Amino acid sequence: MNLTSLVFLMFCIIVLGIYFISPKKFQWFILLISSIIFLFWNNLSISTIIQALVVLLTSYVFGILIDKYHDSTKKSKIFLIIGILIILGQLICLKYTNLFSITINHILKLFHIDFKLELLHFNSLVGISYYSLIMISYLVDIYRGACKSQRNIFKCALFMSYFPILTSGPFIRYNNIEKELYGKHKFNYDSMCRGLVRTLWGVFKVLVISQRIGMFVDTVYGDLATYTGFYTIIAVLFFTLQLYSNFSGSIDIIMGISEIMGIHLPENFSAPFFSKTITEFWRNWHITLGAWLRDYIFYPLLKSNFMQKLNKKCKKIFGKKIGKKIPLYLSMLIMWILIGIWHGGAYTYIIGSGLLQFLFIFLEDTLEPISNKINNKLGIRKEVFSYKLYQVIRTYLLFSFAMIFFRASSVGNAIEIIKNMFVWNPWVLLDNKSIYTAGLDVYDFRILIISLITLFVVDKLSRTGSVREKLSKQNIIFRWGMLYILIFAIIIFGCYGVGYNPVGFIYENF
Amino acid sequence: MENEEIYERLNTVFRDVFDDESIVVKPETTSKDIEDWDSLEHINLVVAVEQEFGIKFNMNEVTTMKNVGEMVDIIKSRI
Amino acid sequence: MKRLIKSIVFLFVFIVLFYFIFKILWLDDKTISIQDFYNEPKNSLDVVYIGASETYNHFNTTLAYNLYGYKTGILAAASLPFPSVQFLIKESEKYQSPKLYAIDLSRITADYTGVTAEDIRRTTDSLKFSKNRIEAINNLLDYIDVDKSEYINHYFSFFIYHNSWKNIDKEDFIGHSEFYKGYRMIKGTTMIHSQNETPWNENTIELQEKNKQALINLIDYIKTNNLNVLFIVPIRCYNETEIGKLNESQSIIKENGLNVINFNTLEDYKIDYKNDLYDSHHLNTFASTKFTIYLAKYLKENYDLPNHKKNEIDSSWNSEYIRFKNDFKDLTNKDFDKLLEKYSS
Repeated sequence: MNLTSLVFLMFCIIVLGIYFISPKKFQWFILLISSIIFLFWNNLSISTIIQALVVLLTSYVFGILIDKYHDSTKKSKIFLIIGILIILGQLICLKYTNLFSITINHILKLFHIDFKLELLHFNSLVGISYYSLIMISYLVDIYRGACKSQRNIFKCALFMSYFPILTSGPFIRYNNIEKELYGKHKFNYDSMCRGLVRTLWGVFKVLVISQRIGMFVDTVYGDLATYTGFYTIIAVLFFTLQLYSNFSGSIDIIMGISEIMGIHLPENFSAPFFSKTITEFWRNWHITLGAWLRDYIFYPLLKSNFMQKLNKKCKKIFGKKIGKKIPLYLSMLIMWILIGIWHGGAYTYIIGSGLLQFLFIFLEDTLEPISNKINNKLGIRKEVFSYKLYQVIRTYLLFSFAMIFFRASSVGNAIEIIKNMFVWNPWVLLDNKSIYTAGLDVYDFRILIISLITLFVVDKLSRTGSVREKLSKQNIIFRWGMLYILIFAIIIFGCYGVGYNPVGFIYENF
Repeated sequence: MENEEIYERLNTVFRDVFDDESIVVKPETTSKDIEDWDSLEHINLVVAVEQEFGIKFNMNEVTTMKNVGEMVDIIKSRI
Repeated sequence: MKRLIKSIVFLFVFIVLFYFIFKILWLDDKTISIQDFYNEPKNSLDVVYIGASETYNHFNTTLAYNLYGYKTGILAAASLPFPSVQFLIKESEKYQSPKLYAIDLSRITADYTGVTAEDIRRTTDSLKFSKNRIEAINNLLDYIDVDKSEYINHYFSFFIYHNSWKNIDKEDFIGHSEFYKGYRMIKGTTMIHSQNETPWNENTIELQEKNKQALINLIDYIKTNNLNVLFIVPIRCYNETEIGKLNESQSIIKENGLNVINFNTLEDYKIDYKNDLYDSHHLNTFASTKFTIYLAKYLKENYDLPNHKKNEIDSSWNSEYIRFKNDFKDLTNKDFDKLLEKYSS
């Protein structure tokens, strides 16, 4: 279900209506029914039902088993491993078989062997990449004693399929959400207002900003022969904003809805583009994914015997400072490759949101002492605004570069795009004409610039506290004025209806 | 073991891990108070503490401990 | 309680704002002459003329009023899909009870494959929300085989019109100025472009099946509701195929006992292909005057149409006529009354 479609609007109105009319002890059950409907919307088949049941039953049964054998670490560990393998297995089968095939096909081509593996297409459920990892974290948390298993299979099913998180996340943790998810919620006027404002803001980001940028980016990337040089450069820079407004907008939409129902989800974004380094960036971008990887891959990896032994050896050989970095970087590399793979079973993702990100972070860390020396010698100060501005811009450019791969259809396509950037045609920007021929006319550009400035201002404000809080403190005319502007901006300037082919929710295919 | 001794030994560990002889930890000390204590160094610190006191933290504790005080509580319960 | 009131007020202000914005963004299309029709008081029109762009470009309704005192309403849109006619009559019947329906026949020659969703939207979007509108949309979209999932964009046409924020101009705030009681005079139509004529012939060519069915349905509807109808073949440069189809249509109409007048073959109406045409499909303003004089007289003589001029001194039909004459002078530097004299003789 498209989050900005009429269908979803109707769906939410109906679900919210029934939710607050029902007796409070059945509210979680209403959520379960709604979530099942959302999960299987337009995708109901024997195959998808089995997919869902495999994950649900594995999580439910093994969760209870791990809990039961809590005292015997050996037994509970075996159950944990089997459970993880099953869930991971179904995720790999449904999403990554093609990655193997593509890789093998490349190798075969390299050796001039005339055989190609066929690429298969499996119909997977919406949110599979989210709920699979969430249920793995559920099992691990039970094993670690962070939470108890859910004995009611229907409640367990709700945790797995809670519809707001199916499209774009965030990654939820069982012990954080348990109370509110199954709890009793009275209708709260303030929550509804706050939630609605957040949802509207999300719709604005998606329909007015993200879809609009999408028209330009799609045009430029769709015709690499015609659009080169500055067209490409602008598309590269724009795509980052498209991705951000699309992803964070979807998150805002569902966070608002969940908030209305009294269920608070963890934040996924914290004005990431004000970050000064890529390292800092990933603390503010897709926060829950980073947290999941840190708690369930990175830390266990670093703490493992293998890594600790490696740590000791490296410290002996290379000295303490450099030595301790080696297992660290190795673990990070593994983690980033996994992040890349999570985004998609294609090398563009592994490079774009995997290896390149690792490279940037690695370089930032290793070059820091050198850059500090240089700055000292040259008298460059790091606390001043101009330096921070440079850092922010540099971070944005690095991330945008990596996103070329993320957006491209293949590695070859990405390289073509990069080559295209080196065509010299500055008149495209200066002649006040050409730039308006690439999918967006002058009116669209104006609206886009104004919207992006608005986004910038709101994000900047959010760094010093909740924007909705600040808004609620203002007088009623200002508050309502802002709301009306927001609503009518969506209605008038939103890219919906005839003439607009919706660019899909980028993070929905995960 | 007395609190005083625990904090003494912790100071040694912290100074060694973060390469800073001036560190003095208190119950309220968190990662925000020490410059290099980020999620990457956290594990190194945890492992060093484990080795110093001959104990093991479980993963849940590693990811949820909020300050040095909580760390000390766990150390005391393990010795 | 206070909160409930706040919500209601918020919603109310929203609806008011929405209404005004809606009006400004609505239907920026100047090739439609339907709005003026709705503005007329109920049951005040004597003739309703339905058709495509020839209809609103050719028949000068305020001139007809000035000459003979009867009021003509125009329901027309450029490239009107022929099956729309029936629905437009139905729409008209809701608000008016004219003595005569004049119907532009030319669009019956257009293949349904050449009709686009935009063409349909020009008609259906202009209609007020009603059952008839829904039926019209369903019928017309089916006529051109549009996928059912698209229907909603037509029911709720605001999905399209919100985009017209890019084209806002003075007109949207002040109102149509190119239309005078349904008749449209734009800058260009005061120009003259010489055309080649295709002489009329007597051949008949089979109508396209869907169009033939639409004509038959229309005729049935007319007969069932006992409507007084005159089909008109407007002046245009037709090609052989179109002429053949029009001949076929005319014989079907006559077989059913209804009237049709073909302006391209009238004995006592001379078309000056060098000077009368603005483009191959439309008369220029000068020739439309000539045309209006003829048709207005023809309608007066053959149909029992009243003369309101005696009773209504202050009618908007008078003021619109004057506005037309003033605008005509601005565009052409000529005096319309003198032109009228010349053509009347």
